[in-house]
Amino acid sequence: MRSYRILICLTLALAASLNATETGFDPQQILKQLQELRQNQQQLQQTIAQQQKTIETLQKQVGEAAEKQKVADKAAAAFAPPPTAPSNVPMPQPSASQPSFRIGGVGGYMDISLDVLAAAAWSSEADASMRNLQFGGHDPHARGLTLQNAELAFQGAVDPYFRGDAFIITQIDRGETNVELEEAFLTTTQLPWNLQVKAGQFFSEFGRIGTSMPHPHTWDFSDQPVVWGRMFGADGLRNPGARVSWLAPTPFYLELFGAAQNANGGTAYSFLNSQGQTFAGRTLTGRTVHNIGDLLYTLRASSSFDLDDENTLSAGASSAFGPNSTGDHASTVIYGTDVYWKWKPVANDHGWPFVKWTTEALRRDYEAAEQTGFSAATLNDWGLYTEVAWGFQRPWVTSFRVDYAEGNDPADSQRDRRVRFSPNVTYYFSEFSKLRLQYDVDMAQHLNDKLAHAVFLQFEFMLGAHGAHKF
Amino acid sequence: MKQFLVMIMTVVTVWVSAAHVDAGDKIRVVATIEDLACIARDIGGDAVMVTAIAGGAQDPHFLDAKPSYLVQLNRADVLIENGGELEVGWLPVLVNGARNRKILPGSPGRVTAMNGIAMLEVPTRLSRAEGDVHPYGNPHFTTDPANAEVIAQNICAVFCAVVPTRTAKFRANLVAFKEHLDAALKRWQGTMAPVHGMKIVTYHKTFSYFARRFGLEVVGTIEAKPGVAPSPGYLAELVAKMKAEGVKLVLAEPFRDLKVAQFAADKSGAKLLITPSGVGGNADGRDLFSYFDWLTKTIVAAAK
Repeated sequence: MRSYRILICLTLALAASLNATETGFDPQQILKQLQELRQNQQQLQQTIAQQQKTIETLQKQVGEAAEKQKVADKAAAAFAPPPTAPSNVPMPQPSASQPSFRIGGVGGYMDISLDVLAAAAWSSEADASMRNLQFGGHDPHARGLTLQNAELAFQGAVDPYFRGDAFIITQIDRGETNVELEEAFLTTTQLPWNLQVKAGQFFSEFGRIGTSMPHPHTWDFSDQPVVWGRMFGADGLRNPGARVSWLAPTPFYLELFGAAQNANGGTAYSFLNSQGQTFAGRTLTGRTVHNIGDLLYTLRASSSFDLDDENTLSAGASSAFGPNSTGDHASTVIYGTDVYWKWKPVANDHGWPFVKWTTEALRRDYEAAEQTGFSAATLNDWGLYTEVAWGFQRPWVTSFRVDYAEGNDPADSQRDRRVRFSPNVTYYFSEFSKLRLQYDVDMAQHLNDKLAHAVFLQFEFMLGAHGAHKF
Repeated sequence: MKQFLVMIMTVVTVWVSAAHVDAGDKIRVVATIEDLACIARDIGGDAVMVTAIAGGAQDPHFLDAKPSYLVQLNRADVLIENGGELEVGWLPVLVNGARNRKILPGSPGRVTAMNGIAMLEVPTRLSRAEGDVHPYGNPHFTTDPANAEVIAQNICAVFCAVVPTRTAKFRANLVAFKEHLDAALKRWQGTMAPVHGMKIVTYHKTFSYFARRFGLEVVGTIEAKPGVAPSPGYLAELVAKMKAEGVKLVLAEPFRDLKVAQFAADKSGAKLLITPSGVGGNADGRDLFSYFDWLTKTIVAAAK
């Protein structure tokens, strides 16, 4: 600090002398400059005095804190066995996403986990046909072994204002490794009025799967419901965008969601799906965004009621609307309703026994624009699934799903009438690994013999720290 | 249409007001387990309205993140959690959805009961091959009633910060609670004196803190590892050990696989005692003091 002051004085003096040589000798000016120098000196001294004071105050505070710490330590030692952490020092708070374990030791900044889902599959259909039946991108869709999904998850608090979640998935399809950024979004934690904003790349909160269990390892089955694939394609409804949700101040749970997302690509299958793809025979143009009417909008209301301590009933209604790429002004609307009931006794052993019953119904109105060979038409498709999972004895779960889907084209594998029954049984070695055996019997109009069978042996394992799942 | 809208508005208004009037001017406190709620009631007195999410008849590790809990947390002024990952499977996801800045981790309205507790069984190495081991140590510290003093201090500090005008009252309640607890501890020590040094087996490591406080020796657990069900081979070894060590009691909470616990007790000549993991698990343990009165008397009676 002192040398700094000297430097300033020297600089000022030098500037003054230079000035003097330029303008010649001028007593008036020298006096003025001396005055300025003195003022400068005084200002600097004031600053130094102030800083000295600050230093003293800080030293005093440090001393006091140390003293307080000693007193607190003594007090703590007086009443209890020596605590591992003094009570006035905050323990590392479990972060908002902290699951059973963390990577990188206690107090890491984020949870990192790897979840691997793989299956051995056999079908009465050859691979090309099996692919149409197992339409989900993470379904086992070929005879033999499939790596359905290896999900790398990063989750944690970004700062006091946001949480961050990212899911990067890898799968191996016919020897090719595909990597995609499934989700990467932030969620606000500090907004007032019961609001929460999510922004980034994320699954639209549509229906029960989209809202509570978008990732395949949380499903009670080895493949996704038929109607889900028909409405949302292989990869589910997810795109970059933003959503706002509001938790209503009702005595029961009621949450309203509204999202605006990009409507382009295969992850918006019923909307602006990629150029070169087809829908109901129509060629998709892959049109781009011109105005906000070209975005995808998703609305949802979700509610839940505790019937008693053991029974919970949740119900929701969703809709998604946006443009589709059969023409410049064509658009699609999808509606859905879902009901979920869960029974689990209060005195349960690691969650067993339990019964879960989920039913979702979806309907799509797809305005197909006029194209060569096709007149303009609104194509109506609908479908539902209903599934029961019964955890009858720890660690066993048996589940049964009925799928029904219907369009207007018996020859189109995605728009024919189809019924599927899927019984399965799952053994959970722990919360982090499981083995599942599932049988699918399919009655689909587009198949030559109208009937197909498939068997899957699926396993999952999870490493690392993975955030708790929603109800 | 207009009438319909008016009706809906009325219904919503009634719901909203119903949800907001019942606490009056009291602060709303949500505790994850009943044990913590009891202490909060004693410290907060008439200034607080306390509810608990889990009682002693359920496994606090394995609750569902029910939306109704999320609604409770949305309206809470104070959240008291046990900590040490006891609630890690369900509390974080609820707090994420609750949109309540008062109870976020690190906020003034968040009490972590674990702060200042001397933790037992802190692992030196973290591996899931060891079962559900918690990095902070065994989180079931509320089974040692002496820990209630530290917890009460943690709760008192947060109540004083949230309602500074009632500080004197909370501090007086804390002093009274400590006196009450000290007297009760002497009483429980007296009750437990005849069984000092007795060997027991517990289903899970739930009662490690209780055993240390009252001089019981836990020689094994029915579970092979925390959260891992026993294999027949493991059970046979355990039974042999129980016989060799002269184990008198098996403590198991009501939500465990009691058939297995009964089998081990029968084979080894020990007695199975079904004990809630904490307050609120049976009619005898409605608060902290009656719970430990019941637990100590029951253990001593069963050991005879």
